[in-house]
Amino acid sequence: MMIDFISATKHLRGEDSIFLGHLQLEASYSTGWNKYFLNGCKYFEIWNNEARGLLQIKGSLPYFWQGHNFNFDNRKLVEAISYIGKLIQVDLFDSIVDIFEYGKIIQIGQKPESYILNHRERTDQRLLMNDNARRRGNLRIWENAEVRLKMYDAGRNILHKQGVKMKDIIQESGWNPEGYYLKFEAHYKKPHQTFNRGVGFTIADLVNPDWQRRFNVDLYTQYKKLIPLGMIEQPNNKKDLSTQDLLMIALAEGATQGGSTLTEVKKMLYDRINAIPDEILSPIDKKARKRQILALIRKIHTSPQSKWDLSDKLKEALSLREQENT
Amino acid sequence: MMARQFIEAVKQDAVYNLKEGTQSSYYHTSGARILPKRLSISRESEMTKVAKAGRNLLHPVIGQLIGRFTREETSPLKRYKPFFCRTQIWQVPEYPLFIGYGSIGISNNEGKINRASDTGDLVVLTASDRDWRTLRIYYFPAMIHQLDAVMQYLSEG
Repeated sequence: MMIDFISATKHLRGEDSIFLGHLQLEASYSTGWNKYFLNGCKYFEIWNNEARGLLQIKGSLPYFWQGHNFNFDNRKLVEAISYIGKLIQVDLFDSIVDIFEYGKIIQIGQKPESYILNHRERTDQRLLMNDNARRRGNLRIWENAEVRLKMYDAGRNILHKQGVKMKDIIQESGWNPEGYYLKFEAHYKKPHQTFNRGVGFTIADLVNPDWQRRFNVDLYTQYKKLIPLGMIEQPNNKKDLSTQDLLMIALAEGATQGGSTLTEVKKMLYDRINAIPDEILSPIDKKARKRQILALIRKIHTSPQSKWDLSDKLKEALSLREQENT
Repeated sequence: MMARQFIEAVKQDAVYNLKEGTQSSYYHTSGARILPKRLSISRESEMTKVAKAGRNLLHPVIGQLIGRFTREETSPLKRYKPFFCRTQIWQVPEYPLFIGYGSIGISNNEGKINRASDTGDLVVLTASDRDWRTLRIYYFPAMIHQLDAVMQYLSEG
């Protein structure tokens, strides 16, 4: 299991007397909130609203505790939370989890880019895909109101963002600089709704084996909201291999390898037709060409099994049995 | 065990020098300003005998560190009057290159230092000479329970 970012709120009781002396005050807001930084391998945020008796912790526990998020087990999470609690002299394990990220790194045989570009959202899942142009191929995000799913090249982050010393440390944790690592992660925006029918749960629950099984099952369920793109199959009869067919297959192949679906290929071609002025191509002509394109696309078949499908690898990495993920 | 990189990230240290003509009066020379600028650090031979209880059973007491913040000083440890901070210094036989360690206690709201006002902040003392003329004090907030990891980290340089 691996929990990364977390935001949790502690409702302070009368007997709680927090100690903020070791924190750096970053900002004070008119709402009564004070923002502090807690020093670690990376900063961790502590927010305090004395008037409302609230304390919030926010940040990436792995980065705070060990400087990287290649791996981070339960024991380390407990140590990190215990440490923060001791420093501010308050028990944080009963804090309510507001947001958290749960993910898994999978070692794969090919460049992560191919896997990332060949995953799309299922049409019935109401997920909005967001490809950051600068990180295209290295990160793909899908989002709805409850969850943000991220698939990214975990090895690239280490190679490009970590120093030599930290790379050595991560290597000791099992990272192979020559290997390819893909991380699939769910950022739960409303974990109480996703996991507990609207009732808040605590940081202590995060390390409870029963809850972790739920997180594992849900991560797999989240993955199944995506669809790995299939390979375009080469027709094996002459009548489906006309020059037009070959051109369309080549176009579709190129587009799908770039992460587009056949529907998007069709849309792209329709847009091209629509952009031609009516005096050059009349509406009737346009309709006719669209019909031809549709017919050509319908002849294209993708293999039912996608080589980019990570289901089995993820299931294995999450130690899920067959009945737990159906 | 706590990661080395975390210990390194939170480590603070300061150098204190013995004031000429005194046996135990030290003044801050450089580094972190978390402890009072003047400290009284006495050796076991100069102290009254302490009971063999609590942490004293675990490690031998080798000295004591006491300090008091002045009116001008600021520190997270300066919370309640009379602004004292204090710790025994315990020796860790496995790490003979270090004088020892302490767990900082500070004045509470009644002006006393007791078990409850122990911050859990770990200090580790080293001396560059046999006479303890120059001391380096490492400070690790809330890390008294990470003593083994910290000592290992410091001894490995």
